[in-house]
Amino acid sequence: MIQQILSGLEAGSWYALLAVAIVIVMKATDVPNFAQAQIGMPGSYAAVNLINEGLNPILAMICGIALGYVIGAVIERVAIRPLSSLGHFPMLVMTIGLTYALVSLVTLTFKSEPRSFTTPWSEGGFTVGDLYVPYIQIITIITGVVLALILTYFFRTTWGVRMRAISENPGVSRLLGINSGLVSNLAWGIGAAISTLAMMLHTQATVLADSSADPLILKAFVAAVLGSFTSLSGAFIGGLAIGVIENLTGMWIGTGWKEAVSLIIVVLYLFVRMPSLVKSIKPREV
Amino acid sequence: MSLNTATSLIPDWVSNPKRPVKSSITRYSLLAGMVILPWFLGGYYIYIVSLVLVYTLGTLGMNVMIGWTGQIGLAVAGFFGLGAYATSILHERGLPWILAVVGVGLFAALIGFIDGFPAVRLFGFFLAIASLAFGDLILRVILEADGITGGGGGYSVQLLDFWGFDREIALYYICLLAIVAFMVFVGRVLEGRLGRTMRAVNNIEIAAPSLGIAPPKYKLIAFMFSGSIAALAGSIFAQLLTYLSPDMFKTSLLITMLVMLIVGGVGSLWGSFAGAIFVVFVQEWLQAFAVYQRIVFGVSLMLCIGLLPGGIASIGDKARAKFGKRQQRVTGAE
Repeated sequence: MIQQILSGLEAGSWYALLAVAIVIVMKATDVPNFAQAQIGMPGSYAAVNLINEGLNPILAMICGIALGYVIGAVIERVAIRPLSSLGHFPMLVMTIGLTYALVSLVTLTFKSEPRSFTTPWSEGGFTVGDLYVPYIQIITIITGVVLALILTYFFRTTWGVRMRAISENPGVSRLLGINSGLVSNLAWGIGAAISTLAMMLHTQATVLADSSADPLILKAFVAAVLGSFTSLSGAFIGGLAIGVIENLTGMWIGTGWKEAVSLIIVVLYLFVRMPSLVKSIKPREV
Repeated sequence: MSLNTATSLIPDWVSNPKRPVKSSITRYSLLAGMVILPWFLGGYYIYIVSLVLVYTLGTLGMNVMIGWTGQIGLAVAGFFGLGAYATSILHERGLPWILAVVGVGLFAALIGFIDGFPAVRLFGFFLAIASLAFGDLILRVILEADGITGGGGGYSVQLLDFWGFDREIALYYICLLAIVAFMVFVGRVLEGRLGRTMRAVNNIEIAAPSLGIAPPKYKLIAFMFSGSIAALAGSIFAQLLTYLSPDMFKTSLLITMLVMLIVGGVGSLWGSFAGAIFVVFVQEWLQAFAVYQRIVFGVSLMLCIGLLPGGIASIGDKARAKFGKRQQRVTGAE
């Protein structure tokens, strides 16, 4: 039971981090980024390659995250900003296209065979009583919580306030002298860096393959929905909750239901919470 | 401007009833060409053309929903799978195929009603996510009901008996019949009152109730309709492919259909056809290179959104607009 909750929290941390990245991008640029998990792939591959070259794992991970930031910022500048006047559906389709383009470029660059992301902490663990806890589980959960706290703090700083202002009312905030281009660039960069970290934690616990981002993205979106696409803490807690519920369902009801439960949650949640969600969406132009 | 988010992809002439009507000569000669096609093409090519037609049919339903009513429903791959499995299973259990198709079509409309229910009060990408999850749930049910569907192991479809006729050609004619029937039906309906009402729901949702239009009703109709058409396309798809597996109806099928819709042109029935030709051509051309297929699909989606929002269908109109303007200018100079 505790074992299941722990591994639920571990999976939940991946979803939570990705959901937080989705919410940040959504808040700053109003784009539902379907490629949020895939955007973390190039950085993860680069980190694995650097580790195989003999670099210190922590340094390699930092390099990977930096690469993730750059990729996010470049994508924002090249593909997203010119189209910022389009609505949600075109942007959703755009990021779906981006998913395909990114994953296939990764496959072409790094070859498609799965590889293991080995770090000193990705294997081994410790026992408490009759409970075996892998190091990576604890590290993933702690990283998630620490990052969530940092981000909460960040959104209280000037940059965070600017980002929130842009999402509240882009026109007025531009009049007040906020550089909206820079803010959205920052949001995509940070979002991509967080995604890279989430993908690294995920692939260290499992295996790094070109399809390893696919199962995460829908659940991350479910978690973001639980946070109404506006609340970072809601998305984070939602992600953790989904991870735990999934694992407990897998244990009590059956592994086949494990994948379905988050989908059922989101459909039911949208059914129940619809009116309040609609209220939280501003009519854009009538 | 509208509240809904799909609008910016729809070329003006969809909202404008005075859109240029394709000349009937073009239509009938195209139809005649399609009817005599099997005399000129070999079995494999006929199969490819049938595939194009089935995909067109599946995309048509999504097109009506997104292009006309502006509802971003992304459960279409699930409905495709539902139709493919349900019809094949009923057929195997002894029901005549055509009855099975009709029954499954009605059942899919019911499921589409449930899928569309959140749409009554939800819009934009919340709806997209709800329907995406819904489509995935349909697939989960197929996967879990392995007693009847074979689960992940796949399912061999019981083939239709064509009394000795060539299978590929008979299937081709079934596809052609279905597509012509739907093109005519959908074209008629969408140019009429229902189509205008659907456009009103998309374009002026807030004002629609004061005109006596209940948007929820028309949204639900769009969902039921698109679910039903996708299921019908799925039924024929099963006969074409002869083997089904849940993997075939995953998100990748949804993305393929989105490519057809977007590249072809949202809000254009002929666009869906053009998009299906594009997709099947790329799939066959790059058959052995799935990676390059994905690159082509991904990049074409991005390019279409960025540079050609009306898709292939809008090229002709754009050219005509440009050419027409120049002509006007010339006459003006005289």
